[in-house]
Amino acid sequence: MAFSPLLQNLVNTLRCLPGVGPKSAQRMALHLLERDRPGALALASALVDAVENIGECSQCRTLSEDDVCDICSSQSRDRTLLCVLESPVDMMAIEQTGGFNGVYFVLKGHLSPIDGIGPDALGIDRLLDRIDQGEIEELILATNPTVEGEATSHYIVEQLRDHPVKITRIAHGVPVGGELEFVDGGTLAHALAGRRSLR
Amino acid sequence: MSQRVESSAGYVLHTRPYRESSLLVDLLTLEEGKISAVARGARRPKSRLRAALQPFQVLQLGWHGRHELKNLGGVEHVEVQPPLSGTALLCGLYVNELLQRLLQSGESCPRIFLYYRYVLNELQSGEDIEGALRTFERQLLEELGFGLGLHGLDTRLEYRFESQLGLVPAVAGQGGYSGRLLAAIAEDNYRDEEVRRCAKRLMRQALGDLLGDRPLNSRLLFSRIKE
Repeated sequence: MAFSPLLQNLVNTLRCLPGVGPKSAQRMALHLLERDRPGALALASALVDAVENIGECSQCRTLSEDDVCDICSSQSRDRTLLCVLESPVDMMAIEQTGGFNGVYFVLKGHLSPIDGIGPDALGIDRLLDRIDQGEIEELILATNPTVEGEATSHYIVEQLRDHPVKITRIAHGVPVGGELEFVDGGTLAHALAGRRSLR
Repeated sequence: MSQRVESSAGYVLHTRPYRESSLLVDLLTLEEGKISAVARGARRPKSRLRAALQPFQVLQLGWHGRHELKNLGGVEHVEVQPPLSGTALLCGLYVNELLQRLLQSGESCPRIFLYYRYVLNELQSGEDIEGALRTFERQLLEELGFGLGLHGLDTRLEYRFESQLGLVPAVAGQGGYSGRLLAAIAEDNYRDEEVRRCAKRLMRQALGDLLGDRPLNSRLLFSRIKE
């Protein structure tokens, strides 16, 4: 049986969500229409609201509906410590640990010559401008430990060659609670290369 | 007929996200040259595939499939190379971009594979990166059927490079390539600074012909770092 055009359209549209195939889209559409019409209206207006109003923070480039996001405008944050990340999700991950009290800069990607992603797409000029303002004392490069993430940090370091700011890179290695036996070779090599002295 | 390869040496040239949890991987393999394959589930949080599918590491790979896009099977590290860093890393990305742009899919090119290994080793050791890159570029051109024809040139003459024709004798003093330097390039002898400069210009011209209007992004990146 074919659905009516409106219903079919709703099912097709729901499939733009990650993890939603034709079956689940159909289930969602029928659930919203049969059992939860107020919920459906709330969802629709929340979506419109979010898409129309959420932009990026002018300082750290994360998703935010204000010009400056909460973290960047917070008084209790240490503004001399800047952590550079690849995506807003990484920022949430670090925020959840609660162990970092500095501010962030989100690149929203990494340098990837083959994909044609260059420094301009990542707002690296904005990052450099911010460092030039002189407030930042330490720059923590927390891009992913992939080839592209490494290339991105290398590029940033090179652009700051003549700048006195302290630059650090997050450590890569064996996960906490892990056992060496099960760690892949690449990670072990990184862990050995980045060992630190205890005395 | 479905085609299945159990185990072949290969390198990852590039990966990009595919569907929700998979990766589309471009590989340089010893037996079948450049191939593209889907690594199913490689982007799931617990997947071991993603850690294994890093560029510049020699892997043992298995794949199957009838079409141009294969399904990746087993992936195993053979030996762990220390990761490239700094300038060597960017040079590695340059080499990968060259191969990605110039190699045809599915054409066996064992010589390129060997020279790729060679250039990665040199990048690792960092002794003569420039010489290694030029040697690799020359071999790549040769293998693609655009050899420079460096042998049997007169060391007293000057040459210019013409697309399609290659090196042709030119009037001296008009910015051509000196035969003496070209002879050194033919022997992969890059000790002399003058030879290096000449080789860089020549390779850039010859590769530029093949690459067309679209410049190499990694080269743009280099020029911005040197600013």
